[in-house]
Amino acid sequence: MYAQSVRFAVSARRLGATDTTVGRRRALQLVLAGIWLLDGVLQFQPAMFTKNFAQMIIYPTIAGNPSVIASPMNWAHTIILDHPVGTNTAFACIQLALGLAIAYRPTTKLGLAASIPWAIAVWWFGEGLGGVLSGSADPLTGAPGAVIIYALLAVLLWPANGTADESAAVPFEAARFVGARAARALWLVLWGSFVYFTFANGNDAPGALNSQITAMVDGQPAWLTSIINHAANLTNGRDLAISIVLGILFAGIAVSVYLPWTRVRRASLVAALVFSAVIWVVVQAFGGVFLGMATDPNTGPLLALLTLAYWPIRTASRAAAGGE
Amino acid sequence: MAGLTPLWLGDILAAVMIATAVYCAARILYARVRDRATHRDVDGLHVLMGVAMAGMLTTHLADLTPSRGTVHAVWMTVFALGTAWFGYRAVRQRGQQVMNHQSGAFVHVVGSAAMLYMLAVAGSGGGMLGLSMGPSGDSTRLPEVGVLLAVLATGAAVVVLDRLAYASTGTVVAAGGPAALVAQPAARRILAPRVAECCHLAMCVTTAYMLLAMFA
Repeated sequence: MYAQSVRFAVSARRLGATDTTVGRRRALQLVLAGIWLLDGVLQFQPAMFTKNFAQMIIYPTIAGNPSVIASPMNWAHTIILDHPVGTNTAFACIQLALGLAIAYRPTTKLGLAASIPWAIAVWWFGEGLGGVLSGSADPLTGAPGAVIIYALLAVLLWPANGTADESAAVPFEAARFVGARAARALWLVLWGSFVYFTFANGNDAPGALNSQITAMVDGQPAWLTSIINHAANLTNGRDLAISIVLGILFAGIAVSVYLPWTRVRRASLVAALVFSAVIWVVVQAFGGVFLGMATDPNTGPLLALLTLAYWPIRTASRAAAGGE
Repeated sequence: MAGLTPLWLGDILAAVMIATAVYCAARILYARVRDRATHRDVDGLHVLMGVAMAGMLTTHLADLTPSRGTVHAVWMTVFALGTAWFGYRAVRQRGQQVMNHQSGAFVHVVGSAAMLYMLAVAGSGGGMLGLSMGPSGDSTRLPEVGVLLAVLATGAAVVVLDRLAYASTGTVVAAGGPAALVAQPAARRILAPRVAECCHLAMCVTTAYMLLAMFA
């Protein structure tokens, strides 16, 4: 028994873990691993092995992109169209492997590192850079592209052990590896881009919001159809007003990480979580998972995960001083 | 789904499930003969799940899980009992941090419930079962339950993998981490805990795949 405990402790130290409990950072990594794993499983759906994957998911993202972006996308589209089974099997296996690698502690760094180039490649060849350059980006429908947020999370959730003191005081988990200044800047750029995209591309034009909401309504379960239709009715004719409210909300969320007041930061992060949940249900329809053609759960859960990575950490010294 | 899904994928997964079922059956026998510890209920669940899932995954073994009749009712009963048993275990295990494939009885609740759901859909939809049969097109199959179970199965796979690095001791660890091991009374070592976790992982991923493939 004693030998077992020694062996356990040695193997735990070898893995760079101080104990076997799942800390906040590890929990966030595991959620990311779960989403990658889910993506891999979704990619194994029967429809993905047909030409529909290339025609209905890849091809529509090409239009409107500059030729320097679109030409390689066309090349990739042609290959996927000609070899749907082989290419899709490879895509699914890669995403499955990324999820498994991130979840398994000895290969977490390998999985996170590999996920970055893969996410960038999918962002380009599979999502057309999220419509950022084609004029179709909208934060409600998934701009700047769900998959690029995977890459961002891989950087922000990089294991800190070996590169920094795991117990070092940081304002939030996302700052542990890249530092608070860089993490705040990334948050500002992401949510600041949402402000821009809310008013760009005619997203604030009459009827735009309504058409975005109802775009995913076909084929959904009855209760979800009902929610989507109610939301569409509520927003009908109020596109500009809602865009202004969203713009102010995004701007507030973007700058909130720089504010010194913890309560205000928390309130902004709660707003970000609520926004993520609402768009995930109402506009993104859970990433279209009920339709059998979803490749990922879209940006809703990823924005929520990112937000949790910025949740203020209550350090011992701050707690002793009274919190705020 | 037949005609859409590559048949080879269903065949490969069915082979993996059968291999898992055979291995788990052998675990039960080997542990008994060699006086090694194992979790018979978990291994037994994996045997049953492996056989049932193989029947759903490939047309070659479709007779194992007919969508109607006595055999179907028996499968439904078995997995309903499994869900209840592991649900009871999950309630009893609350607050205990454990390190082997016995752990997280809730994970086995998800597995049993997923089987129950898929069998129920097969029964109501008429010949759907997994990839070996045609699309159910049944509006009463509660797709949200299927998606929820698929997400839970994926989460279970992640939890199993996270634990896998520590599974070599195969010993139940109380809250308090490795130090608490020393204080525990001597116990028989768990038989091949890492392989058992891998079996569990295969079950979780395949379950998630089957649940999501139903929507095609």
